[in-house]
Amino acid sequence: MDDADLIREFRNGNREAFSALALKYSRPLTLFILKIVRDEEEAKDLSQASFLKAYQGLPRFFMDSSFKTWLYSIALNTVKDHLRKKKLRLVTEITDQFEDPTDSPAEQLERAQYLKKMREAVDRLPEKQRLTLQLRIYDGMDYKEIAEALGGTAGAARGNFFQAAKTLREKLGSEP
Amino acid sequence: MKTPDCTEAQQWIVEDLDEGLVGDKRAALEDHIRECDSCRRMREETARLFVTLAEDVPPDPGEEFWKEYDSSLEALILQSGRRERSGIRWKIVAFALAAGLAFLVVWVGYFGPLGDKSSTREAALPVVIEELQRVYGPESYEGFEPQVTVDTTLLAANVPALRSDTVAEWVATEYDPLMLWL
Repeated sequence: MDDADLIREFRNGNREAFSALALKYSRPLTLFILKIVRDEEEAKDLSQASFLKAYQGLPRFFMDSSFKTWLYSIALNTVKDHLRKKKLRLVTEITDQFEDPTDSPAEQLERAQYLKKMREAVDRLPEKQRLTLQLRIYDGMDYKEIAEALGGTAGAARGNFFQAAKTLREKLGSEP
Repeated sequence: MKTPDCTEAQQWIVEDLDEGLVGDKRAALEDHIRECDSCRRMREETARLFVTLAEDVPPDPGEEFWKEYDSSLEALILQSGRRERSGIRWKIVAFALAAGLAFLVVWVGYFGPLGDKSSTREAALPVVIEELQRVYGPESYEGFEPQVTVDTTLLAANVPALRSDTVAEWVATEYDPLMLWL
């Protein structure tokens, strides 16, 4: 059963159909949010809030985009609101989980410094460029899906991605 | 295909790392990069950036997290469904209460002590009785039935302050068996 079938089932009164949709998307969506907020509890709350909004809004969803991009657009708005309220965007701490034990201490340090600078640079990108980059790289969305999730056209999404890559490279390119 | 200049080549490099170039375009890019140190360096930097971005992901939170996630999401949805149903019930109750209240306000305003027409009706009573006695004889009003035709215009004409529709209303309400029953 694909998403459209499940949505039809849900509209015919089968509430279990929504559980099937949640089961399919809860992990990728939560992991995507986790990549942005970098806090498991926050990611869980934001992801669940997004599913709840989707559950309440599903009767009014006209299927003019895929369920996935509609759900992601809800989640992105929820995350944006949350970050605005918190007045922060990305947490830029460096954690041990990204260290490769086979690297020498000097390489590890260099890598950690690069990672820190990269996160800071990503954090400073305009919101649309940052989210486009994250949807493209973390979730492998194509530009049409990104445009549906964030609004705008596929061409504009592509432009945002290219601009984000250029800005980041210029900021990090001269780094050792 | 013509070899691209640096601006175009750098655009193609991102395109190549993002989606992959094929055919002549890719060959032309490779030709340019072979000759251009700056674009070669740019490709290395961009590739490193993309790899680091892709690797910069927090680890999966683990099965305990997902178990807790699933159960609390289900509870949230159940709770929302209950709230939605009780919300609909409350809307029905509120509508019924509002309709009842509106009816009561109209009824009290129109027929109750606050109704401004009641005083007019009371004022009309002796005049109507007197007129009934004059037209149909003494005590005739005691057996008055609503179907008896009363010339309300004539009744009203005796008291200039009364309009014939007020008298007609008095006759209708005071002698309507249904109203008496209520």
